[in-house]
Amino acid sequence: MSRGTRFLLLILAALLICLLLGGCWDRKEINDLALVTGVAIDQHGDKNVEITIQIFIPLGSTQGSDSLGKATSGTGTTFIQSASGENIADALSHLQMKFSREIFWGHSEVYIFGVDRVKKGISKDMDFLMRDSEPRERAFVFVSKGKAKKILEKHSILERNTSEVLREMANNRASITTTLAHLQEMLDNESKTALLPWVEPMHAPSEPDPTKGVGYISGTVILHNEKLAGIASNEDTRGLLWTIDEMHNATITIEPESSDGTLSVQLLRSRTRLVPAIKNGEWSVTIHVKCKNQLIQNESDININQSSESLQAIEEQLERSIEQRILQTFEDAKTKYKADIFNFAGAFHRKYPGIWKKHQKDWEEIFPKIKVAVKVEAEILRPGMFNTQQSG
Amino acid sequence: MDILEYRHTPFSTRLTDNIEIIKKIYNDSADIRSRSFPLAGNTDAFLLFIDGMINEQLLDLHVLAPLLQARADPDKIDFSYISSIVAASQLVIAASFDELLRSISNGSVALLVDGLPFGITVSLPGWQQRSIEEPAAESIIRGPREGFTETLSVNTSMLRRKIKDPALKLSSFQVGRYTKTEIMLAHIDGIANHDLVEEVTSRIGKIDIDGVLESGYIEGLIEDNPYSPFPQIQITERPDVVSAALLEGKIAILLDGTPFCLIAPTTFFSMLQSPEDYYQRFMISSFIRWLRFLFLLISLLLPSLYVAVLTFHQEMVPTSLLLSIAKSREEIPFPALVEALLMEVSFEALREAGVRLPKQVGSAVSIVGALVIGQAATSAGLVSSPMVMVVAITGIASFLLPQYSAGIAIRVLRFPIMFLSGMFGLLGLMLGLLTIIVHLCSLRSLGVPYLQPLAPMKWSEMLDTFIRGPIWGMRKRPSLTGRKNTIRQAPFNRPEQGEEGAPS
Repeated sequence: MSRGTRFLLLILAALLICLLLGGCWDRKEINDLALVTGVAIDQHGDKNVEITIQIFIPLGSTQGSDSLGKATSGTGTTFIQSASGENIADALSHLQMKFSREIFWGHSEVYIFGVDRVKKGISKDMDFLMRDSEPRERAFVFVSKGKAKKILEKHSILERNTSEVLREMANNRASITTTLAHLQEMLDNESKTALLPWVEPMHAPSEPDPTKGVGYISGTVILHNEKLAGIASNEDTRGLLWTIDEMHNATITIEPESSDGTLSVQLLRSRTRLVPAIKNGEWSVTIHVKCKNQLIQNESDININQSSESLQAIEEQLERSIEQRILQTFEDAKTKYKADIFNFAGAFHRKYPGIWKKHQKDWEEIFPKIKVAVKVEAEILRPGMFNTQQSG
Repeated sequence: MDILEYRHTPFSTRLTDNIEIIKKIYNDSADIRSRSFPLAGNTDAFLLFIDGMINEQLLDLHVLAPLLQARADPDKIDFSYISSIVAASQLVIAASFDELLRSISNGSVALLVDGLPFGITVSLPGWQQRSIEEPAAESIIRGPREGFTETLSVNTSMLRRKIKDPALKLSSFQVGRYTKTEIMLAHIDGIANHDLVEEVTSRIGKIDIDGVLESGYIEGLIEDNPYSPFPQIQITERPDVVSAALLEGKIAILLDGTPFCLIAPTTFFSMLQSPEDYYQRFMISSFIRWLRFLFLLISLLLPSLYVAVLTFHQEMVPTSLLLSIAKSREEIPFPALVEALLMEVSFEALREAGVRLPKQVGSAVSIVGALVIGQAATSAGLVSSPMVMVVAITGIASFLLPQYSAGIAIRVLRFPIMFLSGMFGLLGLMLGLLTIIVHLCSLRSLGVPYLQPLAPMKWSEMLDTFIRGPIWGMRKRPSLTGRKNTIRQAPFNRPEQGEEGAPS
């Protein structure tokens, strides 16, 4: 072997060793990870925070035939573990001591705050969740009635675990949905008002086991200046959804004036525009709602026909119904919650940046005085093949 | 005197001297057959051939019989007299022993006549040869089913049958000190770049080696970059592929003794093309080409991607997928990299074994192999079932490349990338991929950039690279090989839509 080739081989070997030594240091096998599916953050005592994580148990079922005897759905696939500390990071380090595997937050898509924690303000917790690299910014955030831990403790019957239930509910977008990134945005926006879905625990009916059950979304939590401003009912939530252009699923039932019985339409698609205006020092907002619907049930004896005036009458009533819902919500926002839940502030900021800068500090006084007009254009696109009510 | 030196000794007019030299050259080799006989009843003559190389029936009937039965004055016997009585088409004067020996080795009978200072060779090749069969490694559904054989003359005749114009030029070389293998260089005059032809000629001319047994020898000796896993010369057994290449201005090198023909220059993308692409409808062919691109990436990267994501980037996997992978990996004792290596290596071994195995044992081993790799490995808890799937898809993917040699390159490169991604995650994977791409950019095949028409970019040729355009749409030849004569068809070859009821 000549000196040249020996030298080359030496270099090659050195490079290979570098590769082998440098590699693998941050290698994590899945077997070494505790996969977090959901996180609950509760107030603990006066100052401390309690973290509860729901951990996925990988039942070692490599073979299809082996897993037949094991219960892989419903119960038993997750368990929870809690720890408390001065802040989340501290609590987390205590929590890690209770685990043989490294806690991996990357797949946690659900964060639930206990209502008590929210009352204390969540900005400190948000700092960790946004700063640390592991929590997903697209994870959904909820606020629970009572302790958030109670929601995670439950065992779902239908889904893999209770976190999955909440995630799917948020995905359906039937109510307010908020991700971590979105929440941070709302906390920093002009109106300083954040909206979060309100979760209540629900026991599974006809199940003797009290641990069976899920949490479900039943309203909206309103945070104003990072403090709890109120909890909006389902009715107010719907008015809210119309206004902020987040309405995706809706079934509107009205009682036609001209006849007995009810009539239901389902929303196909809607679009909402906020048009702010400042005239002679008077601040006003016009809410334009355009929606297209289909008729899904007709209990009344009205003859539905595309060209007939009855359809128009129904459409007008639909429009009034939506308008009332929105106005009612605005009324509640002024009196009950005292917060600009629709982010009118943002709309004004965008349209009148100069004026906004001057009046930014007075927004709390301006908001209740705003004149709100609602203009709804509701259309029924698919009245169905039958003109009148079907019977027999 | 050395045997080699006898070759250059001139012929003597005395037959006995010539016979003595020939006997010395062949040194009583056992397969040499010879016979002395009186030509025309009065002149001594001598016949020599190699057993099994010639058709002895023809020799007896059309050469020996007329020579024995002829009657002529001894002084009238010369080459023109002999050629007038021997009923064979190829009768050639061999001016030196060297020429004579070459003809004998190629299936000729040597005829030495007393008084003539040269040898006469009568070509009567009659050795056993394989019949024309469908090429096993390049089977297609639609298209000609003939493949090259081991006999050069059969192969060149197949080419000539496809390209009948005399512009198809075949030039012959002999390579190999001892094998004296005959090589044919084929190109179409007027399309192929002459510099290219000269370049190949000079590269082949420089070869001085004991023997050339297969076209792989030539490939290894004339390619541009010997330190590359990628083949820079295309190999095929199909006359239609060679003809298409010749019509694009490429050069084909045919060898005696092997059905594999070399085509140069070639590009990376022609490795991803099957002759059938041009026989099927163009939309279908385009779809299949995309499929090949996809599976090329899968074949190269899928196991590495799986390892990288599972050991470094767990957050990138969709949650429900990760949970089910976590379930199946729970009892696996190895890290993902070891698991992947285990499976890939055993799969490659199984495949190699499948090629070498005698046919009778083959099916038994493949059943056992399938069981070991699939069923048993998972139930023994050594390998997770997602990994089995990854390996299976990768295995299938490498068969999608129509060029076997390109497929092997990809298969080999899979392993270093797997190591890199096992150590550095996706960073390593990209590092490996970039290295390969940079290497591909630097490759040349007889001076033609390997990644052409992607780098350097040639928009006009994309039509036949990423999709297979309609035949009438590809009016121009590839620019780097067919520069002289770019237009290959008349404009408006596109079929017109016929009128209703018009006679077809």
